[in-house]
Amino acid sequence: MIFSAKNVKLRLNTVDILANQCTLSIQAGLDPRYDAGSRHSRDYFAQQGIGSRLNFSHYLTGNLDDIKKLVSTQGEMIGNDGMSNEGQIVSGSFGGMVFTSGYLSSYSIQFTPNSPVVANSEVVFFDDLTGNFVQTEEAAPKEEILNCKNITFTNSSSSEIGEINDFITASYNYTSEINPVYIAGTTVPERIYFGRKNVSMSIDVDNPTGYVPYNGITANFGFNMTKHNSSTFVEAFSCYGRLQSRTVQASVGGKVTHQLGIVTHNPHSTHKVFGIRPVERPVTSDVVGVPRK
Amino acid sequence: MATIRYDQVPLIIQFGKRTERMIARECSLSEAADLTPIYSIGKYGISEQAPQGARTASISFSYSPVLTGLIREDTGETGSYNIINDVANSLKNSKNSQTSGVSIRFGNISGEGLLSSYSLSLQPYSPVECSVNFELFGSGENLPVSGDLQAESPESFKYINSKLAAQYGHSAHSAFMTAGSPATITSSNETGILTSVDYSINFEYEPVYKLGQEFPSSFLYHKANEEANLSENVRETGIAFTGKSENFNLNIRSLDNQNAILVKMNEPVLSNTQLRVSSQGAVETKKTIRSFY
Repeated sequence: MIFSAKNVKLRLNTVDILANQCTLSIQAGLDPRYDAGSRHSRDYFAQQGIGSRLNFSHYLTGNLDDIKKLVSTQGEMIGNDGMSNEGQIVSGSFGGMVFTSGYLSSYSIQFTPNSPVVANSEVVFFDDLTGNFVQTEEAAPKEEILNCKNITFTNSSSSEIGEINDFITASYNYTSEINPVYIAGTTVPERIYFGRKNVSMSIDVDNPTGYVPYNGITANFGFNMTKHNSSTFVEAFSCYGRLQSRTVQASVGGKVTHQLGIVTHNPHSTHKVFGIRPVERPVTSDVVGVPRK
Repeated sequence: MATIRYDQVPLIIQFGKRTERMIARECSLSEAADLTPIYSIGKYGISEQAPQGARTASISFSYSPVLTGLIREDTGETGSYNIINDVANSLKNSKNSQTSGVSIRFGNISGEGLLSSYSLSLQPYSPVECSVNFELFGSGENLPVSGDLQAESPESFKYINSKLAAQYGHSAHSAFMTAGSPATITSSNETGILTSVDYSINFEYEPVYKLGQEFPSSFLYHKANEEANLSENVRETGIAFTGKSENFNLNIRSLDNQNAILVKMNEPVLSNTQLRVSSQGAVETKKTIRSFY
């Protein structure tokens, strides 16, 4: 049976996503098995567990994009025990097929003048899908989509970066390494560990120059978005890092473009200090390595 | 709003300190908002129609060019008209990338327009007929067009001059249809006699939009292409693989032979020819020459 896209709902963490496209791909890691002296394989064996990806593009409406929150919280030490580093796990369903332990591996937005803001996300998950494909019938919610007309830039970069008057286009890209840890005898990862995270921004600006010192330039750009005819910021993106590249480009029939490349590897939320909690001072016992009672 | 008659909506253009009241036969103003419906998967209907580009406008009109007229109403000063031909001639040879527009007022609606196309047609014993199109993009915070449609008191032709007929660009009085006329095309040292000319030029601009602002911050002029379709009484001896360089200067005089519309194509190349005859008719040859800037 063939279904229509309007009958396939995408839901992540109990939130309906206003997505204009979604791709769910499930990949088994099979390798052919060759016997000695044979050029042909008669069988396959699994080299790794199931790796699944959910790619989707969704409109930003300014209602605190739940997906973007994961950029600064996922993989950070946010548990009460001060040790958990898994962050918020993404659960979701696509057309009724459900996964329960997904992780945001990339998130990007291209900002183009006067255009709606669309984010492209990728969630990886390693568990099995449950449920069956079912179609839904829901009316589209009346939402105002954020538009790049209503965007303001802040530039707190070093003066070395030069004078910038016009921001022509910009892109925001977040990536995170998500690595499954399998234990012997299981096909589903026992846990996940997070590798490097980075946020990069690419900004087309005026005033082309070629100045990039060998150690980069301290750059701090942020952009805030409002709804139409409003001055209240409803969404914000920032990148505090180092300017690592400039690209000046021209082609026939076009304008000269000057693109700044900024990278940060510290894309988590600013730490908030709520106070100091005293802990009991350990007392040395008579036996080495055992605290005195 | 009461019905407004054609003689109550004057069309006036300004460029620099020059003002010209057009003898326009028809004029149309179009405005457009660039909206796209927001569909999302899993939902029927749309969330909204969201903007995806800036509002734009265009104004096109056809007119008979008058070569001199009243340029300052208060002092009665007369001067050179035919602003559009001058703008086209200077723009196509312009070395500057930045360009500015022509101020247009039509029935109290006004805006700043970039000349995007200009064409003129010349037939035996006829006044020149011109057609133009202006693109209006607005600038910064300024809308492409502003003002309300209001009727104005019909103007008399005093704003043009008292010898209007003598100031029309015209084919007949300028010896246009004789060999060696101001409108000449040379081939193998032979001057053909032109019987009609359809000339056009198109300009390519790039409005530069920036984030956070609907209307462009500046305009770049990139290139122009120019074409003339000529009917004449000679046929050239074939067409060259690489095209064939021609010289073409069109000098259309006013009826009193005092002023002229000058169109000078820079090193045009012959791109096609046509020889045609039908019963009860004379042999007719046509050619197309093109220039690029």
